[in-house]
Amino acid sequence: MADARLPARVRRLFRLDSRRERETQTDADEELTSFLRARSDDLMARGMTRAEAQAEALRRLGGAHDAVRDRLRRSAARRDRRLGIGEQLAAVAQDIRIGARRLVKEPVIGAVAVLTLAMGVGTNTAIFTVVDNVLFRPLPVRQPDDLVAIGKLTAVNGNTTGGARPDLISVPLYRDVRGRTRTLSGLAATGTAGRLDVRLRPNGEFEHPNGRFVSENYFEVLGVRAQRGRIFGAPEGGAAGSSPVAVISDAYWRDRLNGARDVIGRDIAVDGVKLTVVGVTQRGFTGDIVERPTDIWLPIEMRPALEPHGPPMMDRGTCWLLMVGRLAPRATLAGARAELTSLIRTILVSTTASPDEAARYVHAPVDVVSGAQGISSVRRSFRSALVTLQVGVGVLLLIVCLNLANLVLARAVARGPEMSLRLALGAGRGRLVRQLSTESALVGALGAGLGLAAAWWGSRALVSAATADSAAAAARVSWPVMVFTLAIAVGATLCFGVVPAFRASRGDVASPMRSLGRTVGGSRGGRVPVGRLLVPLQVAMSLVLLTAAALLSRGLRHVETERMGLDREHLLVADVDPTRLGITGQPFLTLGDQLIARIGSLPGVRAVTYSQNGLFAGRDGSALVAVPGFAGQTSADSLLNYDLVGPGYLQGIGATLLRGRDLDARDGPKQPSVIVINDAAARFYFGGRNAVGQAIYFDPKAPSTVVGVIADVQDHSLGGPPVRRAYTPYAQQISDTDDPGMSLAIRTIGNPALEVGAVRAAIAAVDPELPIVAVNPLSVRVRASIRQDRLLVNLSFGFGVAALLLAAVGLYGVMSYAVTRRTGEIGLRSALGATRGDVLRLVLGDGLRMVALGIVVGAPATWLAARALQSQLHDVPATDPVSVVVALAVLGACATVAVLVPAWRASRVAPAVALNAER
Amino acid sequence: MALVKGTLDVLVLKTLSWAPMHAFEIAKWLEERSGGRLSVEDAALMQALHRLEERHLLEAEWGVTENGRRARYYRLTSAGRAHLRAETKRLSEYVDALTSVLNSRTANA
Repeated sequence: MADARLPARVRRLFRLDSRRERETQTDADEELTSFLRARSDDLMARGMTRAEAQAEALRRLGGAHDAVRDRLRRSAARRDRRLGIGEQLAAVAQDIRIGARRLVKEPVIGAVAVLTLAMGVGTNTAIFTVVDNVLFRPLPVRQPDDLVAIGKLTAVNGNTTGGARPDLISVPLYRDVRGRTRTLSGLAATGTAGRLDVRLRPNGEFEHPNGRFVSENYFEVLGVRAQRGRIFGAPEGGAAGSSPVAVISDAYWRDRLNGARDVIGRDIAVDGVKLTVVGVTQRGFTGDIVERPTDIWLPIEMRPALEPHGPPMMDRGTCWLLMVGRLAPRATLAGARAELTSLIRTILVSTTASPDEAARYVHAPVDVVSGAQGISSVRRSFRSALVTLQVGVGVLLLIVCLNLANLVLARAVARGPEMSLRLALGAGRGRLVRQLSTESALVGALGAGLGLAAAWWGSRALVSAATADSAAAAARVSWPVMVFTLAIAVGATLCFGVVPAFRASRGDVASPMRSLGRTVGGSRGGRVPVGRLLVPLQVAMSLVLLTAAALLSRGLRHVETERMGLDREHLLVADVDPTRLGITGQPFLTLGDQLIARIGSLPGVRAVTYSQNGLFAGRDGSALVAVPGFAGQTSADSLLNYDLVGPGYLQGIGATLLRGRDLDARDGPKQPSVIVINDAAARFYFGGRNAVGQAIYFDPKAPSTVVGVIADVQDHSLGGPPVRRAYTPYAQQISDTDDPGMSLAIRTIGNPALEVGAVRAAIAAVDPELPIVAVNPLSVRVRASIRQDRLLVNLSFGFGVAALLLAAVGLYGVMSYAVTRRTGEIGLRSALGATRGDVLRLVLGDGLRMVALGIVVGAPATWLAARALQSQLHDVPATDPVSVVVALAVLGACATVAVLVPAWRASRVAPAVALNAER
Repeated sequence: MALVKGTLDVLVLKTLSWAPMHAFEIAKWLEERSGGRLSVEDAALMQALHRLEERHLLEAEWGVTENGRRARYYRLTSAGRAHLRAETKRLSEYVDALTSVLNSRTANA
């Protein structure tokens, strides 16, 4: 009953190949033949002749011989196919079981593999989620690819007066362009609504949603529907103040109005003006500003009503809008850019009275870009940082894969005898590859799953850490992210699992069995060199990441310790809001004097002053100025940033006076108009001449005389070139300032944080009604302003350390393995007289050669990476020697430790034990 | 007498519960046990064997007969044994019920 071939059960047990189709057919035919023969034998035994018996056998078959044969072939084929599929499924299930068992049996290795992979996948997915949200995701509107954005996108909250500009649009300019464009089928405008004070219920709490003023066709141009009520349309767009209505976002409706069904028609108070909610936008739409979701939209015509003291809306010098247009059928972005550029230049030239200005407008650059992804002031600045991070985590993932590949290889070698046995029993190579790959895929799936979960959490944490705007943390894990994760998980699994599996399965049947009896030095070659190549690669990549981290943190350090031109460590900033109480004009100045006197009398305070915009407050003002003897190339050259300041301002913030004098109580409303400018402005407008005594015209009829020049002050941001800036006495401008702001700057003797309570009390003592918006030490605001830089540094630092640890683990693993395999050789050397020191040097040298090779390989890559980072290094050169030395030192120290442990162990090998172990 | 539909499978299983056999032995055994009353087409029997093997109720291996010829031997699997038990129970109950109904009709007639 036995047969040469192995029975099905045994074949399945050892996972050998299942039978082929041709065999099935032969089997079926043979079974039929043998049946017919047995039948006729039986009949002949009962006395029939051979011919009779054969005829009877065919008759009893129940059909023509050939037809029956075909039927049987088919049923046998079906049987074997089904059994084959079943066997394969069973085999896969068995592979998974075996894989899972191995993971459970070696929990540390399994956990390390899954966790490191999860880290690799998680970091990549988290960063890609942010990349996708910030750089790639289109606006959730109708055909976003047809949108164009017109204007300077970094000025989404800009607001300038004093002259028309081509990059920030005034209401009259918007209307002109809208009326004349042919390449756009629709053109809408949006502008900042500043800080809104909203009461959703009468006498309710004030809240400050993000608002935008928009043209009445805004939603229609974007293609956004209302889920309740209506969007803006024909009823709006009339005369100033004629449309007391608002549209709110789905998120705002749900969060702040609890999704009330009767929201349409409800009245809310915005800056004290009663507005009616007429619509809630479709779900998912958060406005055209990507990083700052809009809560509430107001018609542009309502701006004069909400800001009665604001600049005149129909003035061509009041620039505060960006435009969003939709391409007409068959129009292209390039065509729209050409048309709008010439259109805007023509309108600007034809509407100015000044020939100088007109000359500047002729060649003024106009920004027209795709609006498919909405307007983002940070996209450009985020792009390089995000690309840096994405490349960084990509490298990290590669290191993870190399480590895992090493692990899989090492285990495959350890399982050599098992594989040989399988091959000897006739298992196909494909079968073995499949089993090894299944184990890797199991690790891959677990790691990817865990990584995705981590990424979902991580990307939110990342976005909120980067923007400090909890609303912006709506970063979603979308399908491109899922595809991305799947792709890197599969790629990584292929990388660390399948390739080593092929290598492992290729080994000839005899060698691993024979190697059980191998001895001295004979173990080199074969599979070890792969591990020895992977380690230098890991070292090289760690070097890249470590150097990048070192460079970035040096850059940050440079920015943090930069001279700001003011007394950063002793300043307290207190924002108050006198306009809420209707305090403007002379009473405003009186209030300022009272506050200065009261706070200035506190024992811990050295000086007090105030200004309109304050320090690091996110508000800035600028104006177009004329300077006799200066001819700018573009209108931007005439742009001078300025702040209205209280008496003693420069001394109050600790600025350094280079020439002339500080502003003081002498510079009252009746006195000649004076200003102080910074060094950057003095050099730009007056070159080598002494700026003190020169005139600058904010108003064509009334010059302001420069009375002082101060060293450049970083008023609003760290890093970057100094901005031209003027400081104007509040007292001389108060009659023209309808909406004065007040930010107190208090210079303390000790730690400013300790004076917060006293300052609040002093303010309340002057006027208990005066709203205090915020009181913070300047250093806190400064740190918040470089939040993104710090995040980048911290992340790159984390990636660098992770890469270093992984490389060290890889190095340690390979060296330990090498030492184990060379135990015999080492024993022999010791027996022949080598000292422990000799052995230590031997192994150490071997390991450090790999590290050195890695550094040599990594050097050019590091140089390239540093060059790519240059823009984020804030004046620290890409070849900064300190960073390179630090990275090399840390890497070298870590690698030495990783090699030293196995080397030390090798040096403790007793010759007799080592030699005996080989037998 | 032709077979009632669906009973061939259980008859084959029953036959193999005695010992592993090849196809002709099964046919022969069925003829002898039924006193020649059950007629099974040989082709149908072989197809049934394939079907039962496909359902994991039987296992097959090539072996050598007493006469020194190669033949495909079938044996019952544990699943086949369980199936046989269940089918036997179901069929006996069916036959009992059938018998009692048919008998009572005869009495009333």
